Amino acid sequence: MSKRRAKPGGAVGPLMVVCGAGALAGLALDFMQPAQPAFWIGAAPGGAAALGAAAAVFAVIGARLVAMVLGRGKDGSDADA
Amino acid sequence: MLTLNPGFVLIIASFLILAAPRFARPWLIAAAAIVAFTVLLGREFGAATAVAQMGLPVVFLSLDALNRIFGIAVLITLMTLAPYSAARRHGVEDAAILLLAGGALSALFVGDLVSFVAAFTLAGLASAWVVLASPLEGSNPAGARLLIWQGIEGLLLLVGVAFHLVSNQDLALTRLNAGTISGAFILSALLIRTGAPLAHVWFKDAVAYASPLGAAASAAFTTLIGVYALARMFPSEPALTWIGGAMIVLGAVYAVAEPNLRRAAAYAQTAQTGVCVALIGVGSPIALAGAEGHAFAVMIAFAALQMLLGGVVRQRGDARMEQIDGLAGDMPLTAVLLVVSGLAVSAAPGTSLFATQTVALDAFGHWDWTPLWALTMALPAVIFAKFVLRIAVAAYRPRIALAARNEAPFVMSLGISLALFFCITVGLAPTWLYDLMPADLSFDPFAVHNVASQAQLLGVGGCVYLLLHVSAARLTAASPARLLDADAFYSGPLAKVAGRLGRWGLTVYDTVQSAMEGLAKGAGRLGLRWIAYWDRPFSQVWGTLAQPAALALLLVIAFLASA
Repeated sequence: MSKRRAKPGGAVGPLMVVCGAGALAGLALDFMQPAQPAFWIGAAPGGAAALGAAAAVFAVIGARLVAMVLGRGKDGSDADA
Repeated sequence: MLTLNPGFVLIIASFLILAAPRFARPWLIAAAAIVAFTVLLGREFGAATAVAQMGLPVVFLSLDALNRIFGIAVLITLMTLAPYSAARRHGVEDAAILLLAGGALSALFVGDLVSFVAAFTLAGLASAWVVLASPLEGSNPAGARLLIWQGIEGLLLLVGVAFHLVSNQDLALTRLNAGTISGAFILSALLIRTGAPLAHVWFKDAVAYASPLGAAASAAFTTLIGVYALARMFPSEPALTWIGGAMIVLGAVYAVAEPNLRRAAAYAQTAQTGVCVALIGVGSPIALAGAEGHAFAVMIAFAALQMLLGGVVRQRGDARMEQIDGLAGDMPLTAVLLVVSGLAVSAAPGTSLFATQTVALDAFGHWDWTPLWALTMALPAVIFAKFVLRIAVAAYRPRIALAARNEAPFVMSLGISLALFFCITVGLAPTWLYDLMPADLSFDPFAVHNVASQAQLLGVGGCVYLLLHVSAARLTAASPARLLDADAFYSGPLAKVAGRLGRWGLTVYDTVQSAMEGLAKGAGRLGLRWIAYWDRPFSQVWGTLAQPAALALLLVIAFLASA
């Protein structure tokens, strides 16, 4: 598999700011809410943040693993079965 | 009171459009959608009078809250497709799309199983026609593959309905039992249409090879009609919770890895459709309402995404990640709309999918459904990473050379904007959608807890994704041309086995044919010899004796018969 350098792009900074603001606002609002019984830990305050982080890790690592295992051919036009 | 099925309006229009001049076709699509809307909204709930056909009751129109919400979604999506269709000249494809929408809409509103099978199958065949009408390379084999899937599905439906008729003598379109043989056949057919695991491949195949307009129509009018049928016939079926969960996982796994964005969007839609299927499996009133609302939102949001990616295909030849690179330079409006559309499909607060996802999460909010709750909660973060962050990073990547403006035609952007307008307005004022749902919902999606959860999910997920993506981008592996899926099995090893079996069968057939031919020749020769033998009665002693003996035997038989 060939390796190459790829620039991340000019939108990463603004996107990081927007996502960071959303994360902070969400977490602040969630923890400021009066405590309510949650049916499992994922529904407790901050649970959604943990799920989001796990989903992001999956989106990067999982994508590479799936491409490595199930990918066929290199960059270029599609050659469907 | 007019008792016309709204779907018939679109079917009639599909024939008229073949004769319409180019400029009139988008107007005809929009007019057909408006007339169908009028027919739909001008009628009270209830079934029209049944007519008898070959001794079977046929109910062409039966309106209730369940089919009304799906019908409105189909017609809104068709209206957004009307201006989009004006960007190109293809009357045959316009007719195919109207027939697809008409078949789907008819299937929603008929009230008996026979009419349902007819309309459902018509929509299936029209979806294959949409792919076959596509000008893209490889669309004909893809259309043929889709026809095979639709053939299998239609056969299963027919067999199921036949068994049902024999055992129940009742053809009402109502709840069925998946434990019976008829129910199992019908459920299998509906799962094919819905894109359940292993049968999901037809959908991404159809979307990838359809034209830009055809892909949006396929996204809107195919799998989600299967969701309606499941909600109608198999609510609270426990197997559907597992199938829905598997669809979410499968769709998410392939969506993040697939380099072709149209296919990736199809996989993401399969995952969101899985949420609907799982909700139908849960079967509580709020879960069923959530499934219907979610299907409504998924239909419009993913049609908008497919329309946008179709614009990229039109202007840049394909919709792989490479074609998105630097998109903002020459297609700035498309780049902005892509990000907005990405937010719509990842259930960002203020969009229709957020409003329906909160209902879905509420329905799954029980210890028994924890895995489904977690999957439904995490899915928007995965889609957000793929369709907002990854696309935005690629589209706004600085380019050295300034590119000339190469924006998609205005009418395409108009159709896309209209679809996104519906996503956002329904998201901002979801009470309208909740009022359409069968269950009485007093639900506030903008409750602080809901908004805070979604904001932190997408925010934290986005930050982690960007950090990982930036650090991992230093050594980016070349993206594969395609990913292996279940279709690789039937077009690879299974095709080889089938080919060998076919060749072996032909050899056996040839051998048997030759043996039969030899046998026939031998029998013929023997017969000729035998005839020749009897033709010379006086040349042989036995022949001389046999003739009087045969005559005597004949006389004895005649005597016995007359006695």
